[in-house]
Amino acid sequence: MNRINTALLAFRIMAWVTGVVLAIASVWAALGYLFWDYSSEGGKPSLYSLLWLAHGWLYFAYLIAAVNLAFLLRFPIVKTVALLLAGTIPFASFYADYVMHRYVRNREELATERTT
Amino acid sequence: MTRKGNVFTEVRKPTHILALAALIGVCVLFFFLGKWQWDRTQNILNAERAASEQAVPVSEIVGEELNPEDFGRAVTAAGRYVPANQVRVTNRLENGQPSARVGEWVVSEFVVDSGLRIAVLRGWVPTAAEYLTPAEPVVIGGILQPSEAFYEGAVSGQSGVVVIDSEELSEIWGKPLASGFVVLTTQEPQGVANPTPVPPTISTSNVAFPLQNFFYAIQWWIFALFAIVLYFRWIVVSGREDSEVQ
Repeated sequence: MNRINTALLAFRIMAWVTGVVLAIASVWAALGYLFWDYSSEGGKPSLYSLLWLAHGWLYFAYLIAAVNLAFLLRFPIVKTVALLLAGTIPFASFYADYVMHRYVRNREELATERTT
Repeated sequence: MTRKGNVFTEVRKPTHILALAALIGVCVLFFFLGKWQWDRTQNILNAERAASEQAVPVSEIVGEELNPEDFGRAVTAAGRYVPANQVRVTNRLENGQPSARVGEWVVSEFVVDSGLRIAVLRGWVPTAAEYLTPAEPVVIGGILQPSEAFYEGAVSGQSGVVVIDSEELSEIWGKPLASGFVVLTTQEPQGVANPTPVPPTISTSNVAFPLQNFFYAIQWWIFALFAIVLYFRWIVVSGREDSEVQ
């Protein structure tokens, strides 16, 4: 259980850090392409590009945390892939974090019910 | 010790053959996505280089300050030399070769039609040699250079200056003088008895590296490797589980 809780915490941190960066970057992108001049080359501020660069590398940390958790919980391959993809869809990683916590909590309750 | 055998029986299952096909598909897809970003990186670099090699009118990019990104930019200018305003930069080698003759560089003030005043390094001459300065309007092409920063604090003698420093030149010729100087490469009309052209120190300007596309290319390829690792770990784990069940 302890290893799962550690993996769950690591996943929570990465899901939130990656999720927040992705959320800011994608809202910024939507505003940029709708109202500002982002479709032209070189029209984007450097902080905006930096956010996307950051998301690219943060997503790797997210992948490792997610795979670690999925293997500890013996997730089937399709669920694992869904969990990995959640880091690329805006706001999906927050939901993934919620689902994973609920899943682990239910598992723990089942385990305690069995032992008592 | 049948774990190894289990891995192989595991691989032969239909779901695993499907997974393997998916893995290969994903790897091929990710490889080409990475290749696409890689090509984009190269295209952007090439386009930027081509754009920076295209000569631009000097008054468009030079002012009181010289942008470091424009060091080495090819520039053109239409205007005329000021024959009264020229200096000799002493102790300069012909063609910059160590075995070459020692002589002087001729630096003239050039007034662009737009009104901009800028120093132009016209070339090398043997010490105290004669040369002509065209008085008629000319169109020049050259490479933009920052002021020479070495020999800081060197004292200029009677015969000429030691470095080309637009700050120092502006004190002799009067302000405002544009920052940096142009190394002459072409002059139209050519004229006669010109100084020998000097190769520019900085010949290519910096172009912004498309870091984002470059990283995306690398990331797609790492994703492909990640998929392979994931697949093999999954096979080993599910093989182990099956042996536990049996």
